[in-house]
Amino acid sequence: MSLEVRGLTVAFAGGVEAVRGVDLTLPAGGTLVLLGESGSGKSATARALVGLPGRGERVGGSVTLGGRSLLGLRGRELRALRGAEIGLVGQDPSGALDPLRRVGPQLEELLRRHRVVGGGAGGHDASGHGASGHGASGHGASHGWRARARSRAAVRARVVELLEHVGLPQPARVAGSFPHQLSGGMRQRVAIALAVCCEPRLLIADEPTTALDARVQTRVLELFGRLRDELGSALLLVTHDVVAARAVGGEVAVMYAGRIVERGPAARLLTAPAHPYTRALLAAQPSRAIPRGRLPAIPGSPPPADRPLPPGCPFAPRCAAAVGVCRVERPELEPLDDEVAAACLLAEREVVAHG
Amino acid sequence: MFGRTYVRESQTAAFARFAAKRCALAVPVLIGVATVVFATVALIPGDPVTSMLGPGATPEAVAELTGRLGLDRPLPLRWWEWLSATAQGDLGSSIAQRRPVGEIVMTAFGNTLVLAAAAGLLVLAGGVALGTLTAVGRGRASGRLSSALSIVAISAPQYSVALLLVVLLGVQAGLFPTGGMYDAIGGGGLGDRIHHLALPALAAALVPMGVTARVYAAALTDVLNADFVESMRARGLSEAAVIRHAVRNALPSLLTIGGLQIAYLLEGVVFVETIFAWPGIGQTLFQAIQARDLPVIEAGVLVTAVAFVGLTIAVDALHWLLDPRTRR
Repeated sequence: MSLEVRGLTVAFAGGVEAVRGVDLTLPAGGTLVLLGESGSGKSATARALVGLPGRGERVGGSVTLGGRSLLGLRGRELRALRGAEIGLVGQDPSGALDPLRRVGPQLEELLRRHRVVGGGAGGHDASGHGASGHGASGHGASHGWRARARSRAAVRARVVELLEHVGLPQPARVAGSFPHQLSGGMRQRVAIALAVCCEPRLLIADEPTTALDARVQTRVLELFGRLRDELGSALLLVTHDVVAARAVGGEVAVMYAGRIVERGPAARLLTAPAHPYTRALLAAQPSRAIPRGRLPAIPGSPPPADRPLPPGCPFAPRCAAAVGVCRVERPELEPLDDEVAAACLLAEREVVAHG
Repeated sequence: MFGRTYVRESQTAAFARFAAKRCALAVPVLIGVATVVFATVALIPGDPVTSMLGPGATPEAVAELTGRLGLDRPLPLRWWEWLSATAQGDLGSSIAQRRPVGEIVMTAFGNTLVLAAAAGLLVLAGGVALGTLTAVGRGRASGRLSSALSIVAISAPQYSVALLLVVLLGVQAGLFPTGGMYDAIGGGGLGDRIHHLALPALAAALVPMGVTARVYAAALTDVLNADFVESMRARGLSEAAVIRHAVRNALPSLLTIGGLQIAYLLEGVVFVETIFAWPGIGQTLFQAIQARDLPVIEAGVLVTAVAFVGLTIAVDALHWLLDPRTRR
């Protein structure tokens, strides 16, 4: 089940675009990191994929998951897809849960909604993958209170199992807790459990570690990798954090001003980038080597999303390497070799010169 | 395998502690209220002796009655005697009516409760309906209309609305009785009661209903814009389920404002009861003040205050149950 995004645009009411023609390919079981600073359009891209654009935003282009077009979906079809085939983990773990309900019932509600376990037919098989074990098949003879009690117990057992699976200690206690009784890291794990409980084909994590402290960040990223491998889902990680991108690996697509400016395997892109913006991003990472002084930063700020792009390369005003042609001609994303593609006139020239 | 698989901390003991603390805190509040009531009544001009005997009474008669009623003794002593008697449930007897105050006040307060309950139902039903329409229909005609309606309700003063209702629906259209609790002849049935309740309940309910609608609309709008609501949509929950979660989250706010508004109803019905000749605590107080019937005034205000405090405790307790984040 691969995700194919072609020419994705997210436009505001005035016709100005936050996402300006994005192509992405994410094979089943693969990993793609969408990397960029705030305002680059990466979150707008992620929200467009689940059909939840912001207020007044219009989405164009094409998005297919396993050959099925997602952008035309409405109402019931869209809701059946969300949560069941696409799991979304957001930035703020406290915004993932109903604050007035215990954790367990919130998971139960979702499992029932997508008919993974407990009552109703027509859902896809819950057992089989590593994430689920015993007690996961809830629909047998469903008549009488005895069967209902059995089904309820099965759902609850599945909830506890899920919470254990996302690495929560004392899962039965977590299931019986209210969200405010859990730490941020625990809440994010619960949010992940909610995202993966229906074993989605695509797991989208939008800045999932931003609100967490550094030690917890690493563990949560490891969890995403593990769940991707066990469920065979594709993982789309949206982040501004090069460290997170490195930890997850796979393919990296760097976004700037609503466009992909460089794409390639993480191992290459995050060590020897071709695009000056990627280079600047890597240079802007705080490191232990410089314990004092100013944090490195990219000068200037990205072009505002609420105005049309000026001619030329959108990064040119902030680019140390920019030459005259960069302010006139807009570079397209061109393959540099069979792995890496970049939208930079200079990078193309270098390849031509050296290759 | 069967039965509960979740581990939940028992909340019963915590709730009992909370309730006990709230009730204990209410005691000094009530003593304070009683003292203020007593002081106010003692300080207002005019005394029961003059109003009972009339202006032409001889000084001897005045002195004799003052002594018999115990009004010549020092104020602190009278305060203490009244407070300890009240604490034991003895409210004394009415100066003007020569009946036990408890009987007068409780009958009247029961009638007020009937009116306040009916008005309270209107407040909650109308407040929730208007508030939901305003929040869900924000930016559309339905939202603007319900928002405007709740402002109209807030801006309608009870005394003028009550008079308008009496004149238009009671006298001119003849649809509703203009006063009393039931028909003198053949009345007293449930339908008759509701018929008599309609106008006073509506008059008393309008302002608190508008306030409740506005506060509830704001709370529901906040919840509908909360991140967790979008998260639920992103997980494919049906719109009905999402709204259910949102309404559940707006309930504590509704409870706070609704409880307060209903508590105010208990006091705000004085006007309404007077206009509609409803034999409730408002009307009783009104008459007692005119007659300088001190024990009735004191007991009437005190009973209302106790009801207010009781309602506040009930609201707090419900809040505790509805919102786990308030539990400490």
